[in-house]
Amino acid sequence: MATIDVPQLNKAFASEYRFRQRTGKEYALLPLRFLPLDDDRYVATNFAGEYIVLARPDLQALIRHELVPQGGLYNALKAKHFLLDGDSSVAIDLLACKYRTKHSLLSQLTSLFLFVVTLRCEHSCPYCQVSRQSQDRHAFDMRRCDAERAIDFVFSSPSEHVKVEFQGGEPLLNFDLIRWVVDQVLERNETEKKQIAFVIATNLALIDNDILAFCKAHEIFISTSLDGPRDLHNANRPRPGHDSYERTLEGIAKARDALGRDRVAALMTTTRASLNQPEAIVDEYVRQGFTSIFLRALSPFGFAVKTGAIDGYTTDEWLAFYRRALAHILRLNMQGVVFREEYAALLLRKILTPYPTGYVDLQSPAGIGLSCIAFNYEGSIYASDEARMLAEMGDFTFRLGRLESDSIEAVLGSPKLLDYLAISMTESAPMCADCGLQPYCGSDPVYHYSTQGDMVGRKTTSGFCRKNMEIIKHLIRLLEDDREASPILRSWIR
Amino acid sequence: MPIPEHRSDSGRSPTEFTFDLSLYRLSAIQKAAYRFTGPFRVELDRVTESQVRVKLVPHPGNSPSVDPNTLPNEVLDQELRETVADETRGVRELLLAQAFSNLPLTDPVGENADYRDDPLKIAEIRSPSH
Repeated sequence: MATIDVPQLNKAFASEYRFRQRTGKEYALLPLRFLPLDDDRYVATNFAGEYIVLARPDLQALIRHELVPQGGLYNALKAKHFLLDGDSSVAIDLLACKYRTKHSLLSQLTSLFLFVVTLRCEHSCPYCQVSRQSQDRHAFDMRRCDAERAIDFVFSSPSEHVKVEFQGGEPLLNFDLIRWVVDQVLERNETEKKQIAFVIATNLALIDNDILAFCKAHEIFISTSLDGPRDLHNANRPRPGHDSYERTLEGIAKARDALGRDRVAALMTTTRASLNQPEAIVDEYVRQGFTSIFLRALSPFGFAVKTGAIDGYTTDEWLAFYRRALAHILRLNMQGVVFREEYAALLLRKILTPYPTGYVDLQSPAGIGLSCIAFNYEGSIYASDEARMLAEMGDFTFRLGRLESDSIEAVLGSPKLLDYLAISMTESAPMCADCGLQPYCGSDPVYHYSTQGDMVGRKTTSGFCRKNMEIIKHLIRLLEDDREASPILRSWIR
Repeated sequence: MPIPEHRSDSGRSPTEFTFDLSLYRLSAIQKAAYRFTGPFRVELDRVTESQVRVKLVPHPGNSPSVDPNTLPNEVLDQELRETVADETRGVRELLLAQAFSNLPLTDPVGENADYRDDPLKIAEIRSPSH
């Protein structure tokens, strides 16, 4: 056991021994977690989430205080704040600073507000979570009085940077409300002075010049859906005329012309039909001029469950798809095509920098309510987009309140949400607390509640856990073992 | 390194290990066993005052994706984790306090003093023998 005098809380002065003991012969452990990376190696992470890959004997030697001082491994572990000796006194301050930086978003509360302006959609995608085939505007469109209250919530956020995202259904079916909300927000912001970004998540089938002119005038971003090549996209996204792919590409071209290339992004969803063609999906994105893709699995909510589409593949099948797609993307980069996978980029930011990401699913405490709030078309307030999707299946567990009657203080300070957040912390969840990948992962109470009936979730059978663990370990192996892939992955960090 | 007693292992039949509590903490055995709760029903029994038996029974109809014979190594890993947790508990509390407090706790004099007072004697001229 070390005899190093580690600084203690409320101890104003270090002991005389600490100042005499400057030889580096003894060391004290700093907090660390570890996990097997493969048969021979472990990945260990320090308090701030910096990692090192160790052979098992080296890990044991570190923890049993058997390391040879001043050796290469010793110095690497010391430099990365896995141990502390008499020669180093800055590790505590640096670690605390990095840890605080990693959690700096907590003080901002939510900055992402989803306005579900309608549930109506002219598509009938089998995996869609929520959409309704209906012409009844009154039944499935957000009312202006509810939108007005939602705007109050936006301006109640302490966050200086705010994103307002219009969701559906197909939000362009209620473009009048989008127009009204944008005008109201901008008018109010003349005095509030927040940094505000607007996004419309649309399939682009209904985009026209008037809408684009409004988007241009108000610097609105477009986020659309492109699942891959024509046959795959049209099979995934049925609509009258079987022309979703053609309309999407036409819409992307129009939107780029009007708004600029950087204001149009696309997302894909993996279906069973996608699994055997990851390369073709990536190539389609490259062909259409995108510089990145976000590879997403089906989520276990809403119609995807009802139609049985969610049973279309296992987590392991999706992981095989993901690895193939990532390998193809790396090959393209090696050939000079600059292209990024967004989920990997998010994780790499967490793995290789002290900075946080606002991605809702990778937060601890969970991102529900803290990273996102969803205002549903019928006036309910939900903790996340997935929470309102669950509600469409009749489960209102994550409904936090009503726009007409509740304040942001009541919603974000509700015992219900605070309870959910308290149990969501991976720092204390079974298995997560000890996991070497804990600093990179997160907590998704809505996923685990809907798949296991428990918000914390049993990680031994959790698809969320398996997916994230396997992707993170895969990325670390690439960083460590693949000299060509490593610099490419590092270049994706933003 | 002591090896736990391995009672049996044949395909889909239960696998049993007996652990000596003078060598392994009960909490380490429990946490390691928990990691097998996906593909197995896990049973823990106290065989004697100083021995705990862990039985891993495969769920019917599933072929386990995890090798039950890796349990002893998992227990060893958990022992190391317990060692780290015990040794770093104090510094972990300090780090959290330091990270989320506006008040520096490790060096209040150096952090808060007026530089003109030079409490750490940084500007003091020392003789070469120092």
